[in-house]
Amino acid sequence: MAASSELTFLLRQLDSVVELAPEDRAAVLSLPYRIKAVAEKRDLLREGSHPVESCLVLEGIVCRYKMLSNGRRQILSFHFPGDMPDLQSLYLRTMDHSIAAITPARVAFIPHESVRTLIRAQPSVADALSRSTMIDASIYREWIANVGRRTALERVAHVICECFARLRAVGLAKLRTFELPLSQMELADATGLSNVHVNRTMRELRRLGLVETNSKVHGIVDWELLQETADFDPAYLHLRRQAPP
Amino acid sequence: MTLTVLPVRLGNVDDTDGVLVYRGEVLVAVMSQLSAEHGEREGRWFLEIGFGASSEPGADFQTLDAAKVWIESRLDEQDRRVAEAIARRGPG
Repeated sequence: MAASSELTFLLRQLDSVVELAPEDRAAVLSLPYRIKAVAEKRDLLREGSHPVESCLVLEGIVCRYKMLSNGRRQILSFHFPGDMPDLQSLYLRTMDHSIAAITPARVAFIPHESVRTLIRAQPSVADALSRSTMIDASIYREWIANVGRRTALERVAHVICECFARLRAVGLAKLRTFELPLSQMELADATGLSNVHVNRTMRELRRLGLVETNSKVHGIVDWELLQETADFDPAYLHLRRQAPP
Repeated sequence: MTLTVLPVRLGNVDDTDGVLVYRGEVLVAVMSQLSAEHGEREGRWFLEIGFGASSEPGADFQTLDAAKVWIESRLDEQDRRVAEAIARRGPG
């Protein structure tokens, strides 16, 4: 396996949802790609565009979002290294939302044509990518419930639990400590709360002894209690390896 | 029961009869009494806004006393959890 390939990130992500055979792994690693560095808060893809490549996050945090006509933004999902946040552009020609880098990010752009050739040749890879897309949909269902029905405290705690569980699954969160460089505004846009509410809620989570937040690094003080507070059940992430700290 | 209520008129289109709910001198919730427009829910007490631990979007109660019992239990529960967190961390 070409361990130097940037695409090992993709393998790690696919590995977290299915088990791939050596020939599938080799085929993934042989995909052509170009690397692009994206500055913090810059768009990778805009709503209405017609991409001919899919992007793979290599470094940083990326989000999908929709901007309303009055300038209010709803963040739809977060994406971490190994995720392909615009996989649906393989089949849906027009972007119906935008994708932006939350932190400085590095992404690999892989031509749609090469991904199509790969999935025709390697059915297991096609399965893995389909499964990733379905998990994406499952995460959206959870977010609808989160934004629609949970209290402010539960919503913010839930997003923190999810980010931690997903980062752990691809080996990017240490024992109980992980970097989640989200600003209060980004947490607010993801949870449908105001900036003021998120600020208050973060202080409440600290006061309850659930998290320690030092700038943008979050330490989870009590994982069990945090999950309970958030009403968090990682089943919707459909991870092969669960990640209790 | 440490909660007290102060009747107020609310600026809703409907359901204009309400109360401010205080715990001591602290305003913890604003409630309205549902009008006949709500059919069989008429007369129930709707939590317009609960501050802090008494936040629960969409909650309503048969009586104002039931609402007060619920709000107080939420606040007490929160106090208990914070006290436990402090105890776990130890003094300081």
